[in-house]
Amino acid sequence: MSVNNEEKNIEIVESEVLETELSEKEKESVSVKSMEIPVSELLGEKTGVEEKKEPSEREKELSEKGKKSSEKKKFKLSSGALSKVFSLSNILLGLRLCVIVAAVVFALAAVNYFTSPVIKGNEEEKGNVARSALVPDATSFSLYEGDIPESGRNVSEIYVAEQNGDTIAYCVGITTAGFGGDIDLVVAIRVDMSILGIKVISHSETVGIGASALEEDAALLPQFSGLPASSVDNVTAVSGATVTSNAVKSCVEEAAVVVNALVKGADSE
Amino acid sequence: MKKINKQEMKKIFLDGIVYKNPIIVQLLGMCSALAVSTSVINGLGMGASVTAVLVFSNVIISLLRNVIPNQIRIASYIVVIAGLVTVVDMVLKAYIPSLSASLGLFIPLIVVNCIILARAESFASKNPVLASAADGLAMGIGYTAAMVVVSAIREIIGNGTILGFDIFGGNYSPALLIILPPGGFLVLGGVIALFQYVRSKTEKKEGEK
Amino acid sequence: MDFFISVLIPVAIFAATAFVIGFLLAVASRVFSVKKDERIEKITELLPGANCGACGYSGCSDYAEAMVKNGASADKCKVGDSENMKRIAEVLGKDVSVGNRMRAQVFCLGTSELASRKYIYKGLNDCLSVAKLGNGPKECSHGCIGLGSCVKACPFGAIKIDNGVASVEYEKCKACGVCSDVCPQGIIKLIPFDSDFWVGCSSLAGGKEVRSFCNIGCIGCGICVKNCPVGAITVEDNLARIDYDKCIGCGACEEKCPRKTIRSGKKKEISDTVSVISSSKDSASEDNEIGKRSRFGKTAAVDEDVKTSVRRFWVKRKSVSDKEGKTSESDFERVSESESKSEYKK
Repeated sequence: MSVNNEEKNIEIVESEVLETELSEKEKESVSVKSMEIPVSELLGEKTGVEEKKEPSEREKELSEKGKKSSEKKKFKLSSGALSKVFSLSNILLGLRLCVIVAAVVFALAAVNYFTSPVIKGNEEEKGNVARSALVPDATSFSLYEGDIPESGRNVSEIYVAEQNGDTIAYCVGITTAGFGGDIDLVVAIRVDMSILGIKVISHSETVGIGASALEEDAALLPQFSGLPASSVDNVTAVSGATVTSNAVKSCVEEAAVVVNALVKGADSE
Repeated sequence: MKKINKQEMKKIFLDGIVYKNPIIVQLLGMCSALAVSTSVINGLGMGASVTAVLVFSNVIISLLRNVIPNQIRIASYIVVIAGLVTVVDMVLKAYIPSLSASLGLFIPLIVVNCIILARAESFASKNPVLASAADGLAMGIGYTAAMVVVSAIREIIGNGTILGFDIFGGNYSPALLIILPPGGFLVLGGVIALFQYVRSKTEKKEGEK
Repeated sequence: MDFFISVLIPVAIFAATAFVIGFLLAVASRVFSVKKDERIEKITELLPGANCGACGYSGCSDYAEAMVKNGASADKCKVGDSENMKRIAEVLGKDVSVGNRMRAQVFCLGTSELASRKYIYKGLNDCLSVAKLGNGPKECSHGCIGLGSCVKACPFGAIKIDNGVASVEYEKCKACGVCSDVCPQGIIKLIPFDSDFWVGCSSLAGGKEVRSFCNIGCIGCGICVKNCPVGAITVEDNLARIDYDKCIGCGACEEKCPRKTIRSGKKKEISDTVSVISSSKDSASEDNEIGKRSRFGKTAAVDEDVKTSVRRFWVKRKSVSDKEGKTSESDFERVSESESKSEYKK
């Protein structure tokens, strides 16, 4: 601290209280602070109880203003209750939702009006392509309008494949439960009860297992081509995809039963 | 109309794509993210649909934000979003049926995708139209980007292809697990971890500056 | 025509359904209305909405509810800006003290060079687990373990480990208190943000012991106590502790501490003027007004009722000249009042 040398002049000065003017901001914070700290705190005394009383009284006064807006009256059921229930504000609220929903639905219906024919066309075309591939020598397909026999409860629709006016085959759209969900198939069966082929419309089978079993060039589907409907049992399932294979087999069997009934019915006419 | 400046726009876009990426950071809408990201085309398609729905729903809800009373808020949002998703579904079925078929059930599931309702509630209902549209676009781009990354990984490893093109030649026996649901979780988890690691490193660097 | 039919019918059906549902919702919202204080919603909107939990509540709406119902203090949100805090105060109808900012402080300075160890630890970087092994690898059983559990816990990245001891970056600290809760040694505490001085030790061991295992630990000599003008520092259980309600930041303790355990939070240099504001009632000075304060001392929070004074410490400063004849001024040195008075009066 002191230099280890000759001390020539020893000056004792009053400690300089270097006081600087606080900037505006600091003044503000200081003045706020000064109002906040009660006397007792400065003196270091603990006045816990007193402190609590004072601010709470002030709080009560000031919070009256805040609380008034939030008071809600209790809902009592009285004779005037019905008029309250059907009050204008409630009805208006209902109307508002009504308007929003109406606008949305209007837009939706308009879009639907324009796109639904396209969608229908797409689906029909897809179906036509599938059916033509299954029954190559058919000249026309027509939707079967009659009742689907009882035994065909999983059947969605039946198309009649005609060649020059004669029915040569039936394309049965059938759905059944596979491993991961429903499998939609179209099974084409000739009138002589031999299977023409199967087309998979949609499925949710596991990729690599059930899904590959359902592929066109996999081992399962080609087995059905030309097979008589009575020997579906002899079809070997794909190993590892037993459920899928069995689902397909049961579909074909059911389709065969339906076609059998239809053929018999047509014959009897 | 409150004007929005470039800085705010930049912030909105950065938030949507990086800092608050709906899949990687906010972890919203992961159901569709996991299920659909099996191939890049699916990922892109889903991303585009979600972006479209996001932008339009944000715009509509922002326009209506002062009109919808509080009691019917949720009902109105759901109606708007469901309507939009149905429109998207119909358009896809009509004009891109192959995509519709491969996305399948997940297009209608966009209705309950958390991202859309979350952005509607937390952003569109409190901000002007242009900002909300930008936010929807940004979130959609972030979602698509994350989907593409995850889908690419899953498609390359699990199928040996990308965008349908074989990259390993015909002899690649794919690792099926990656395409199946568990693989989805693993890949998504890995991507999130990597992202957070990179982010913490860059934040540390910036903090040290 | 067909268009209208296929469109209007669904619209009509849905509109009717929506009307009924909307109406029912409106009725339900009145019948089932919870007497919720509107203020809670207003305050929730004014809060940042990040739901970070730094205030200690489980989210912004929870905090708003606590403020309205349980009278929680309104200054706990560290993330919100002061504008909104003022508005919140207005909604609540009470004054909010602006200020009272706190910060976390790690009360240990035992770096790996200064504090000796009792064993070498190689393992999981987690203070909580190592604390079970005899309170950490340092010989001092109260010291900072330095493996960074607080660093991981801090949501704002405000703590770092430097040389085996944790230290807080004051500006980043939001005084959420998470680090304080996590520290197994309990040596991180929240103190007022402006507090200048802190004792860098938490050891309750006696002076001789502390000297044997740490070069910076507090030995409980009590020199600081003797020099504190306001009695803010006390030694209890061989450890000096500063009472921040009383401390005025004069720095006498830091100056006098023989081990340099007491450190300045802000300044490195020893204060060269000492102007102290005490609450003694002698000679109230006119110099002491609101708006002025000494450079290194604390502000006088003055109420007209309180007589405060500026009690001046007398220091001397020597003008010395060295061998070459250059004159310079030495540092300030305190002298006793009597000595100074007699000299001054000359």
